[in-house]
Amino acid sequence: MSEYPYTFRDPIHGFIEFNQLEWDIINSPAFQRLRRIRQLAWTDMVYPGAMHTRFEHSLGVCHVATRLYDSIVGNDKDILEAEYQIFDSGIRRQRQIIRLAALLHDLGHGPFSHAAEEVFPFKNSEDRYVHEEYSGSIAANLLSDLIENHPFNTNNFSIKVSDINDIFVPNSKNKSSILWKEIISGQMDADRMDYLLRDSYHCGVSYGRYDLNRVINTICLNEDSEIGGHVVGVDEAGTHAVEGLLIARYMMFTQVYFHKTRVIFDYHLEEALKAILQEQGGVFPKPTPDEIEAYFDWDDWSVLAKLKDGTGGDHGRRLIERDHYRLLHDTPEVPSADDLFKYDEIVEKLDPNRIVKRDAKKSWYKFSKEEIRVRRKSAGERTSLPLATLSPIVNGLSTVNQRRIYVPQEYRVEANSLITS
Amino acid sequence: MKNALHKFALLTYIADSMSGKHALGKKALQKLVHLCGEIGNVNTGYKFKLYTYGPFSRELAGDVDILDSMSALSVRFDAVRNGYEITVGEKADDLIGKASGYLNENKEKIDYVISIFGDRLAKQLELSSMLIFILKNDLVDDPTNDAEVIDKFLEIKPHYEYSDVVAGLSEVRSLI
Repeated sequence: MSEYPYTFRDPIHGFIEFNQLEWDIINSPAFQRLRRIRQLAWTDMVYPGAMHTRFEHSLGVCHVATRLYDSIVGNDKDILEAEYQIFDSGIRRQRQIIRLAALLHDLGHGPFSHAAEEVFPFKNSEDRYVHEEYSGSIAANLLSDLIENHPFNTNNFSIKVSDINDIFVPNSKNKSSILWKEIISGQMDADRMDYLLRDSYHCGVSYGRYDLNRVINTICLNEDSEIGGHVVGVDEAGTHAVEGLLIARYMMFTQVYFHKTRVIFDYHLEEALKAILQEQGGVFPKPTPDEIEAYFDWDDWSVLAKLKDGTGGDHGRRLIERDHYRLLHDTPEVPSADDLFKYDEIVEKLDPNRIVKRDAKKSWYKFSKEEIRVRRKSAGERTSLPLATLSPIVNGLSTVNQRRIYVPQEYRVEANSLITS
Repeated sequence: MKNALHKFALLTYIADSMSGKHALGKKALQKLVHLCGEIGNVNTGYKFKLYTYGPFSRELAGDVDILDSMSALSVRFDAVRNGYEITVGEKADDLIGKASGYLNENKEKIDYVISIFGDRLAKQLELSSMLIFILKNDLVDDPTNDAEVIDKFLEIKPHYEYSDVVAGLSEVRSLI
């Protein structure tokens, strides 16, 4: 019998295989809920094809994460053995942990994915909960029995839910999970590698395409001499493939994720959700054992029903009628100090209750110039360098720091006259 | 831009304060900002998560790049040292001047942190920063238990000497 007898046909990766444990998780209510969470919220208001869900993305991340892991093991088994004392049985167990982490990492997304996080409750005086904490809570409270007592697990791996959560819940506690979490959430992670291709495909754009096979083929563990220890990077042979990946990120951010019209629909959703959740204090339930089941009931379908019956208020109406706020002013993608001070001056002139500000730096999927280490071999010795020092293209990419001001259509004329006065 | 301006000014001020000392790299700047928050009680506005290279803020990494674009910082790669060197750029004074209120309020605290840590290399800063992160983020069951904290540190960062971690923990406990 095959270890992976179950197969999905995926539009991005072709056939994706799963074992019995994974199949049973996929068929659980917790995972099936992801069919009712759209990947890109209201992006279909701009790109009508963007109706895909977290369900297919999670399957894709599992597939890509496995390929990344297998490639690292193939390329750098000596490092894993010498530095991390991970040998064959440990490699096999870690592979299963990564596959499960990839499957489960998005379980906690709220309705319409990231936009809902602005309506998550605060966990302390400064910070709201994040969706990974909900994912961890759903795994711990709703899936632990299935995972920890599944024969496929007990007979082969004895994996605990905490082993899986360590990979994607913030501030994991053990050494190997800190290394491997980069595969799920890092600069060269399976999450980005899947969503760029998938979002590009569903939006009907080409911006997110890059050579996935070459990136996977050349991924490796690179020593960072400044601090000591390893980070997930790439062999020099993959330099141009990674350039493609970074350019894809930049293009998808500017053309899709931070598209001027797409972005304002996140705001309308946030405000509509606050209205829908008014009786609960304007926020979703917490990811605590006593509240996680109440949270679990929320998905796109329940929100859409509320929007249809008018509970979403004025912003709910705007979503239904596509009557969105309009862009009044924006800075360049990489503004100078003077651009930013001019932006502040414009904000000062406007009625603060009638404007919405959006900041690329605070956006989901923000594009920041990040350091990827490239391995070079010289005289049999491995060294690593930042990609930007080897690639003029990457060196030329800058963190996008664009800021925008939106206003309701009915305030636009008055606002324009105020900022030109 | 008010909060962003404070963050920009903090990074620029630290880079300025480090001139004349050893080269300030990207990772050293990360750790110094983390220490300013944890030991100096400066409201830095940055949130740090644990990565392979210790406490790290992606937003801060992006801000260094933004400040380079704005000529408030200059970020150059030193091939000999195999690391970046961050110095102040031609617009640094403008930026520091525009955030004078915030800096005046925090200058003493930042200077205090730099007086202790400014002469240390990135790896030494990593030691202090990582120990504080372990103590303050429930990475061990009993943060008052030195042995447990040291074991956790060495599990995550095996390249450090045991004696250095013991000394680092003693210092960190006296500072926080």
